[in-house]
Amino acid sequence: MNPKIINATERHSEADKEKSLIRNRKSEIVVALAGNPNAGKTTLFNALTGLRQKVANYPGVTVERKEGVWKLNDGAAARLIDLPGLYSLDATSFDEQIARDVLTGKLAGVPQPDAIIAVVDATNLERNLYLVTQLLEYKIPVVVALTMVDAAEKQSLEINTKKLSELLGVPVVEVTAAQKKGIDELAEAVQAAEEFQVSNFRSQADPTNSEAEDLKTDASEIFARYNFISDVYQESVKHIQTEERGFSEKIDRVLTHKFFGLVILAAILLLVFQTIFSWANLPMDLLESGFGALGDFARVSLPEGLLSDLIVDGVIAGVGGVLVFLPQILLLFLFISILEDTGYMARAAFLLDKLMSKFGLHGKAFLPLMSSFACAIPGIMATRTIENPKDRLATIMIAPFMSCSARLPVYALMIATFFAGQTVFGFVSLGAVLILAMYALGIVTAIIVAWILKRTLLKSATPPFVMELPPYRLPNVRNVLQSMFNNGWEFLKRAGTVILAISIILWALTAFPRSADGDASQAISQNQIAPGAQEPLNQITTGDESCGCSLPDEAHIAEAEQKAAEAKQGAALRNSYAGRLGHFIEPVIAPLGFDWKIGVALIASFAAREVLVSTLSIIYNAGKDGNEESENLIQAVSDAKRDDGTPAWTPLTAVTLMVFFVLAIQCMSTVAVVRRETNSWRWTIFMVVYMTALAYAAAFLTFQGGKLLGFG
Amino acid sequence: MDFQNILVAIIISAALLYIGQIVWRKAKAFSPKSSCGAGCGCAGKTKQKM
Ligand SMILES: Nc1nc2c(ncn2[C@@H]2O[C@H](COP(=O)(O)OP(=O)(O)OP(=O)(O)O)[C@@H](O)[C@H]2O)c(=O)[nH]1
Ligand SMILES: [Mg+2]
Repeated sequence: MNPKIINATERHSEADKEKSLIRNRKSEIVVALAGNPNAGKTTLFNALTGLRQKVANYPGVTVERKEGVWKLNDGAAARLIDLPGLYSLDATSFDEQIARDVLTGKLAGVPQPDAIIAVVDATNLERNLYLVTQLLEYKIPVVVALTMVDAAEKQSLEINTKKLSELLGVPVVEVTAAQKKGIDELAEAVQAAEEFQVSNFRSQADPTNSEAEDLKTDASEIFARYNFISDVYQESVKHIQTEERGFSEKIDRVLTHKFFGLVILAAILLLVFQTIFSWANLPMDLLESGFGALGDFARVSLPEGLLSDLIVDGVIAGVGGVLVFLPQILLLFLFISILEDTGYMARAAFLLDKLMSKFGLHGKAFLPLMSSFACAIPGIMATRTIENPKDRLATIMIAPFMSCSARLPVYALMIATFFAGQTVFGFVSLGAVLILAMYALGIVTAIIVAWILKRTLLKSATPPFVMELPPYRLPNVRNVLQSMFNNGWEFLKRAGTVILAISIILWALTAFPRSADGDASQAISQNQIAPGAQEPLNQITTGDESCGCSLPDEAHIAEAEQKAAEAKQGAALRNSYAGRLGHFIEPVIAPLGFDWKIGVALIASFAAREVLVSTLSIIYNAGKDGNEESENLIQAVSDAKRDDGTPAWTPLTAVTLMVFFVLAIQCMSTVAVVRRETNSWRWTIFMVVYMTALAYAAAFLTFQGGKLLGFG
Repeated sequence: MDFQNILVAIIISAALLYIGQIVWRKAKAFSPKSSCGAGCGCAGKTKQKM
């Protein structure tokens, strides 16, 4: 099918044309994209404006208004507004209200659009036309953009756009946004329609028009609409029977099966995690040695002193410590967007909905929860699709339990340090199983909390919900790569701004107060130095005869010096502000098996989860001699000692920390968004308190239970 | 105080200022009046019923 425009606007007078040209020059026109959810509005928006808003294959992706500049044909420009999807203008949920208010010009700060592009999914023409008939009743020019024509062709649907345009009384343009087909024609049609005065435009529209105005009751109005749509459909679409639909239904029967569906979901996730770890290994090692070399280079080339400490132990250790996880982040988003774009994510949500509907969670909650796996913030925004405020609130309260991408560096560090290379059944990596378990822990906790909330604070009936399963689709390479790089870039930006600043502050907290101008040993008496370091010192002073070991002298002395220096550094760290803070909270976290250094990192991570990794990197760096060859963070974590010389970390501590991270709300930005979306301080504080308490309790049970069972 | 220490002090203050400014901005986003970020579309007549 070739893109065609059927211009229904050729009869307007010269005077009209002039008038609107003057208007055009005065200000740019405002064009809004309206259409059913998942019809391809954002794909078209991105193609027209060159922006990169999120596109995915499920309904309810866009939940707020987005604007961009669309360069039209003759140098003119339009202000293009992308909107959340709508089934009709009888908006019930918050995202639909936004769309309706923009279209009707009721939203403050946004002028009423001069023209509407009604985005219509060609494979779902009948359903999509309902909204179009409603749009036609506003006194705004409408141009229909027909998307998914390629998919319609595959289903052997033949759409007669010319007929369609005649029947609707508006121009109809076929577009394929991915190949930029039909874009110019769309621009022409919109410009022509906008110039055309509204009153002329409406008079020759659809047959419902005159009828609808006379109709008194809603029911008969809806009935008239459907009659009209069915007429239009029958006249403009020819359907040649195919088996395409049957095939996708068969796949769905397996993928959403209560038992097999769950097994397949678990298998897919395991495969994803395993792939992330095995593919990320090499680039991560490279990045790690890169940052190591950078640190060494900075150490050598900068004059010894505070500045070089700040740069090496603060900036490079802190930011580098997080940045080495960039490969994992990129891969995670690669897989998330592939799962989203194929339509599998919607199946997974449907599957969970089927299993969990007994727990009273609203069916529409599952897509927001699924998108919380990337980040809770868009997930919480996506709850706008839920009409019932109580259901929406319940979903917001549990969204941060979904393991977001910021947890990945923490999980990855723990797994790389303690569980690398271990397998279950000989071929499934233990790390992947553990991560799957953490994701599952988050989901199960969320369901339980939702169940409790729905029975107590947020009691309300859960409406039955019919979920629309999007069609299976080969992932669009550009979408997938774009989502991966966008998210990778966001991660880099965070590392370069917030995490950089926090790293500098944390370094300062570990480096000050300086005892006697940098020489910690003067302030700290010999007996405060860790016992492990004292022995070799004594051995040297008492001479080698008494030692009886076979180490050569020089190496022995060097080792002793190094240990003494390490002990000095350790004492200075204990004495620093961070050290004091850590010791202050140590009694609280000791039952979780954490020492004070982990405690400092834990506190810092309430700003953002990845900060745990930078803090550990800074603290373990500060605790050792600056002249020592820089080791990587994984090594530092597994070598870390408590003040009494026992290992700071065991595999059990690592699992306990991961459990804490699944359940705690350690993210300033999420807290801010929850406040904004709930418009309530009480709920925000409630969320922070209950999640932290839950995280503490679960970590306590994990550690103490694990100890009882003989782990750790 | 030598040059290095002054530089370090400046860098630390800048980091503190930056974080402070972020916290301030976030806190402002908390206030009901400006409860909507730019382009979020919830300003004006559509109010959440919560
Ligand atoms: N085959 C095909 N797929 C398309 C076309 N346009 C969009 N898609 C795909 O359709 C899916 C939905 O696209 P979006 O642009 O996110 O849809 P939307 O209308 O913005 O959806 P909401 O924001 O949820 O209302 C994505 O997987 C796109 O890749 C098209 O012309 N042909
Ligand atoms: Mg969209």
